[in-house]
Amino acid sequence: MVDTIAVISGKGGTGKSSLTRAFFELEKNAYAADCDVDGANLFVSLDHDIVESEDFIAGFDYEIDAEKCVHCSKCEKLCRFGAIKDFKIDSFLCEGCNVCYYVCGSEAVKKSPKNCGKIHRAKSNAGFFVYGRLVAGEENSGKMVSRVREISKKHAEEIGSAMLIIDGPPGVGCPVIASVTATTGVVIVTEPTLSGLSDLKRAAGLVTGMNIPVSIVINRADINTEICEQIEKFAADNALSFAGRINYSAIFNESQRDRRSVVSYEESSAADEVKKVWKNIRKDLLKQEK
Amino acid sequence: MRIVVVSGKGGAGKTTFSVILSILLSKEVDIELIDSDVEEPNSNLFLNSALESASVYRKIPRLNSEICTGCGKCADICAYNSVVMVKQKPLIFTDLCHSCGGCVEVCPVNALTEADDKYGEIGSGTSGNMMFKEGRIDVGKIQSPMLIKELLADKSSDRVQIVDAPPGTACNTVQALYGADFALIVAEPTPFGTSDFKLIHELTRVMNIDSAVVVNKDEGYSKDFYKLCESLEVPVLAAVAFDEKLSQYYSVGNLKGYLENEDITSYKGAVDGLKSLIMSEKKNG
Repeated sequence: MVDTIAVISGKGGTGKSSLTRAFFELEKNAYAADCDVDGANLFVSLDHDIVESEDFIAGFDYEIDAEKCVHCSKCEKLCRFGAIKDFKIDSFLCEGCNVCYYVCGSEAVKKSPKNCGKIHRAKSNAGFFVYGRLVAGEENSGKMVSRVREISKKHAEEIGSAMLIIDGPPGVGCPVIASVTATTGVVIVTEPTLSGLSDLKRAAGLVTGMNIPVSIVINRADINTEICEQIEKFAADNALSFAGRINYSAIFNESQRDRRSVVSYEESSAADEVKKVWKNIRKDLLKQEK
Repeated sequence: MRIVVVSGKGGAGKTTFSVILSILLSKEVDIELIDSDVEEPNSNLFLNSALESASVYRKIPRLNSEICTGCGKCADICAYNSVVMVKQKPLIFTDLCHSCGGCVEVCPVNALTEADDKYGEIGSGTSGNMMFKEGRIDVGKIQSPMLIKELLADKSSDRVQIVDAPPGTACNTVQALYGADFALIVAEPTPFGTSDFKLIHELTRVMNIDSAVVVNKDEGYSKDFYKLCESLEVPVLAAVAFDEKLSQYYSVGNLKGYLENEDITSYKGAVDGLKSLIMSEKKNG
């Protein structure tokens, strides 16, 4: 089975995508999956050609047929989401629970499969990768993550990739759980701020609760060395691996604009630090490295 | 009135702007700041308000297997695979349940009842003359949209509500934006930030919510971004340059100190923009 490493952060904007992009380039024979489906960024920084695309169909759109509706209000009374008013369904409140469809005595509720976005398989210089793009405002992001993982895993195995690297979403909710489930290990990228530390603790709690090994990276470490020490202490106290610190560097933003990875700036200290961190992550999370 | 601070991209500065603008506006307007980033709530790290916390419960089905006839209607209606039939008995996975009550409703013999399940907390307090509220989902629970809905259910407040929204453009953000009078989009003019800005702007458009932009961490490569705002006809209220000093203050949770000690003229456009918005809303009732 192909080793799978997910990169998450809890807090958004700590550098998940930039680092995933760099790890993807550093790891020979790797495959990547962008599972931040409602804010995908990997494709932005990678020159690529789309090889294959599929529509992502999940759940249903519900609609009340005004001609068949007898205004009994049964659906409205039973809808727990307050989505039905004046015999109309508000799609922003509807959670697709099926109750209105099921209880309607006059077959006035119609449902049709919902197109929630697109999943692309693409080829880049760093290797193949899959990314999902959820239509803004759609539900089922967790299900889309699972589908992105399914496609990437299948193709990675077909072409004999040695590792699948997942760029995960922020937070600790449904799409994060779908991104880290059944992975070999999880990298949590944090920053030395009180927000970063607070979010790291919640994200680490989620992953360790699932019995998955964790390796922690501090990005923009020079913002606050004192909080860096608190983060390292948190890692040590909870028997979590610590992969290292990466200092602030303008190269991170520059690399986005140049559609390059941070590690391709050969002479920079940022490239050296990221390389070192990746080496440690491999040691921390891959069994054969131990 | 409710103003929701969104960004699409994480780390663009939603919390920073929500807190700074709330503090500055609260000198003249009654403000309630609500942190709806329930998966990672951080606003209170900057307010240090002593919060009174209340547990929040959801309904989950419970089976009395002695009465159950194994008809399978509960599994049939469930859209979340939370109830599945195994050997002609329903098996309930409460983690996946959205508390729609469908299974309980369709059970012909009342073998299913509902029980309370704690899934998060809502904390409330004050900071200066500002009111504050936050939602915090229990780690491992997936019902963030439900908690955001609960947190934002009350729109009756006389105070102007400033909502610190979650990142992304999916269910959580939809719930935070639902019922908003205005969306303030915090955008980082980097390639990643621009890509996510397009998504969140599209969402506000689809939801029919007026919006304006504040540009954050402008490093001077943003010409294309301003052009994009122009073509989308979204006003830019303020542009804030990348400031290492702000990172220092932010890191230790001291945005108040930043406001007291540093030059904050670049936030003025955002404050004035929101103020005139609030005033015209008051005039129009």
